[in-house]
Amino acid sequence: MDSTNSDGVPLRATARDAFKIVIVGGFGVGKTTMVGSVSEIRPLSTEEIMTRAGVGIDDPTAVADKNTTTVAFDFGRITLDAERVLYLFGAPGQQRFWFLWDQLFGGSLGAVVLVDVRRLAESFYAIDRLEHHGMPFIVAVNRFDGPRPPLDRVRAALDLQPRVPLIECDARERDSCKTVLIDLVEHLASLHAPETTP
Amino acid sequence: MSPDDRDLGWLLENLVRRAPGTRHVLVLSKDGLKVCHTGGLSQDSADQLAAIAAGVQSLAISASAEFGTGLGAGQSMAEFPGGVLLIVPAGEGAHLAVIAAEDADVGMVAHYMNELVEQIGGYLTAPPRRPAAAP
Repeated sequence: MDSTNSDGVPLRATARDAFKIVIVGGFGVGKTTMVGSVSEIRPLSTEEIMTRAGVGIDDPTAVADKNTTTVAFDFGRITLDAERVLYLFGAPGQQRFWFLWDQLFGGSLGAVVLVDVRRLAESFYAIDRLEHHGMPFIVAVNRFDGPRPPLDRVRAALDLQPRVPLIECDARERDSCKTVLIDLVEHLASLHAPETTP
Repeated sequence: MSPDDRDLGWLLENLVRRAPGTRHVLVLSKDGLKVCHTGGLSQDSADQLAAIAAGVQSLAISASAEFGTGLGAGQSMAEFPGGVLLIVPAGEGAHLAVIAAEDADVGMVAHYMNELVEQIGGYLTAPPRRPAAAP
């Protein structure tokens, strides 16, 4: 029988399919927040306080109240149903840690690109890199206070192909994050489904 | 470079001279940026080592939180063909990293590293960018 403890939900005995998923995106778009809010286990977080050594290198001015940054990766786990479990790896956003992405991508089935519409350009690198790797992904726009452009404009600005799903989410909300992950799994399944004749 | 930086650089070079097998010494901020380093390390390698060492230490602290008895900032070591990486916590917000030769006496190198931190750890710092938020 499943039971909960202080550290979260134990892995179900019926779990069969494990999916490794990476969450990527630019600096300060909410990757650590997303892993933290959706994980059923105590998330691994490697956040460190931003120091004065980063003056002129890291630009937190566009991200209010951002005092910490991920220096390795985030890790969490979420059980989707009786058999399917997602292992989530949140990538570090800053350029000096991009060398870690290759290791995180290894064995991953798919990715979520988290986007802040106020700083769309921060997302280009993640999308380019996923396309280069040939890894399927969906794009989730994290709702911040501020402008909320329609998704078709975001799609155009990111130059996303029509087959790449684009949705909105709130990285602080567990259910919203879970919806993003379910959408990704469905997208992955659709890519492997036999083509239907029109 | 301020006189302080030059003095720190000299102390790091001194560590290379004293601890046999030590190749490079770097002080890094916990968020992964170089603070100062020995002359044999290029700027690009120093940038790379700072990011690597910050990640290693952060994961090590996570291991300590999960399996240790407290939130200890410990020492980390990575062995690889051709070298060893050693990292110890330094002053506030900083770590001290050393690249040593494969056959270096790791215990000896770590001893000199900890001695340096004891002596001048107060200068090997990377203070927070923003003061802690007022309640």
